Amino acid sequence: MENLDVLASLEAKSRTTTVEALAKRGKKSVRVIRAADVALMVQEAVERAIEISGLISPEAIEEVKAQANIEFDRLKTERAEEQRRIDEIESRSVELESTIEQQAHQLQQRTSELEEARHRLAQALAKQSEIDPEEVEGLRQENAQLQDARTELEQEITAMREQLGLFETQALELRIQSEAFEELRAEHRLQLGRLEQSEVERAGLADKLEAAEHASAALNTRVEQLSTQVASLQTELATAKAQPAAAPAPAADSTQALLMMRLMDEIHALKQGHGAPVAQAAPAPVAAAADTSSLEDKLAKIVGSLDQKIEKMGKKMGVSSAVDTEVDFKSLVNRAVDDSQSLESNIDNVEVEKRAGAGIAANLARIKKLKGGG
Amino acid sequence: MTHDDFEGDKVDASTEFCIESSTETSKLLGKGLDIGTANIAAAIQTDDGGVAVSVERNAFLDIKADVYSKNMLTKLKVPYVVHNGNLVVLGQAAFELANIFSRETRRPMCDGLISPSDTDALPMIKLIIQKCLGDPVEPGENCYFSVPAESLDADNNVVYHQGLFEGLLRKMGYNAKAINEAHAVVFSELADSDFTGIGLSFGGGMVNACVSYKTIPALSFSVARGGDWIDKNVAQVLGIKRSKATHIKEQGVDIRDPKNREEEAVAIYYRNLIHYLMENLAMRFAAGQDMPTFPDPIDIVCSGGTTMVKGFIEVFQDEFAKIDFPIPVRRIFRAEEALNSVAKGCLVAAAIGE
Repeated sequence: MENLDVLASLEAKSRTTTVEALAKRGKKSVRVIRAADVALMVQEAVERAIEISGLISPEAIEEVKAQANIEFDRLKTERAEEQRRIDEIESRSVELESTIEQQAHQLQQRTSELEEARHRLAQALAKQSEIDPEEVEGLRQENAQLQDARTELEQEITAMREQLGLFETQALELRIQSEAFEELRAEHRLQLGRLEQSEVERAGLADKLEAAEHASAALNTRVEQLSTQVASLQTELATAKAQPAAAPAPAADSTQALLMMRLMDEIHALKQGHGAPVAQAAPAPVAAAADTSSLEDKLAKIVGSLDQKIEKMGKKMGVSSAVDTEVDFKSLVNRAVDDSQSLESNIDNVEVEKRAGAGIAANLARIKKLKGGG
Repeated sequence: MTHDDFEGDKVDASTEFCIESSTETSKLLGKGLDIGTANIAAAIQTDDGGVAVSVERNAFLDIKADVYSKNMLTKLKVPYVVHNGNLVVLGQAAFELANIFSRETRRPMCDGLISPSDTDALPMIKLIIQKCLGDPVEPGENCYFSVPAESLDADNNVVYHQGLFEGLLRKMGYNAKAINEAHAVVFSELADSDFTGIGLSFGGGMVNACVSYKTIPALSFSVARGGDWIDKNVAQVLGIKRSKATHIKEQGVDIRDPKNREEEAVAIYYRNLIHYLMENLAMRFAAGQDMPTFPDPIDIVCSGGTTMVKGFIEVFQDEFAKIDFPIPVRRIFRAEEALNSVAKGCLVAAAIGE
């Protein structure tokens, strides 16, 4: 127990410190003693004192010695363990010392490099001070001018790029307009051709109509003449019927009747002919067929024209029979987006007017209900 | 069961996990975009079930670029871009500046379509759209945008206009689809009538009409007259700038009871515009084949910025009474949110995804 008390006293009265702290205090080496050795020394001193005093019997001393030997063996084992630890600590200390030395060496190297750099800087400053300040100022001004010129050039290039972009957009728009104009021109040409064709046809028809009118006038004159003759013959017939005494010759009566019939037939034929002057004017069935074909063409054209009008009306009503193709405006859009992205603006820092409105949940519910979804 | 219930428990092969599902994102997908001659409006659904509409005037004004002007615009939070060496002011601010300096604003769109004469139109309108619409919540999000129908009285190229914006929105990452402007009004305002009736959109460049039967458009057309046409004519007869005429029109005229010469001119042209549209609508009804037979009287809904003037619906009813309309009409009314109507209708179409 005494040994343990010694150790406890040692623990209480000692303090722990690091190897680095010792090195900082200038201790490069220290003497060490194990706590067990201290305790052993104390024990030996006590035993010797008891032996000399004669207070304890020799048997008791032997017993104490045996116990002390046991205790000593235990202490020896502990000492061996402590020795191993100390060796470890010492080897770690050596490693640390070597690391510290390396770092110190590196620090020295860095310090010398810094010194060298300072020296070079001092030399450079000394050289700079030798340069004429006016020359320096001149160079600075020249540099500033060059910088300004560069900025201006950059601005010009930017402006030219913007201008180029605009030109390209305008060119594209002009091209689109030009294409639209070309389409319009082609359509106008087509319409003009049709107009010219119809003009020619109209002129032919006018000639035919004039000829038919002439024929009609001649026939009318002939009808009138014949009518006059018929009237005079009817008068004569009536006069003859009214004079029974003077019996007319049967042959003459028959001749007049025949003449009358012939005249009536002729008038009838003429009237029929007058009703269809164009057909009568046609010299042969081939010409009549040609006329029919021309008429069909005209009808086809009229139908075509009507179709076009219906198509236009349909377009206005949102209905079209034409197959529509999608126009791709991607390049125009890309250009606009690129143009606007390169612009300097504060628009991101400005708030737009906000209005609060009623919700749309009722509308959505009603639509879903209409579509049978709810 | 929440994630906290699992805290501290040992997880082994027999442990069961409960996966929490979320429908919030899919509910809010889809955007509606009203590309109007006068205004650009974008509609989105909000978390609380409402609709938020971002609006910007579709106009710009170029002023000389100098550091002072640029600083002033930045301080006043006026949106601008530097373009071709000029400062280009965008949106409502451009309109206000034009009035102050007695100048005309430049308009990216004319008569309902992208302006062919202004080469700067496309980049400027793209910036305004981007500002209102923002980026898609996820790539390929539906965005329905409004397009006009072909005009009865003008030869306009709707195909070019539609193709251009379709491409622009696709480039921005949206799945872009076009919907007729007046059809969008039907989607927005005629839910109570099962989307049956006549939707009218009185815009800046034109008036669009759509006759719908249970969501299906039976007839769509437009006339190339709108708010701008009123402004132009008022400016001509009064000898003032168009932007000034717009200002007079928008400052609170009651077209039933005009108070001075300027208001009288505005009222005359409003009445003429409404009459012109009704005549054309009646004529299309009378002449149109394949028109649906409406079993009940139908509703007519008017929307758009041009309807915001006081007395619009009363004057519309006056003009309607003057013509012999071929089908019975139950109600003529203005959309509750006349300025948001087209954008909201586009949003409905986008949410439905058809």
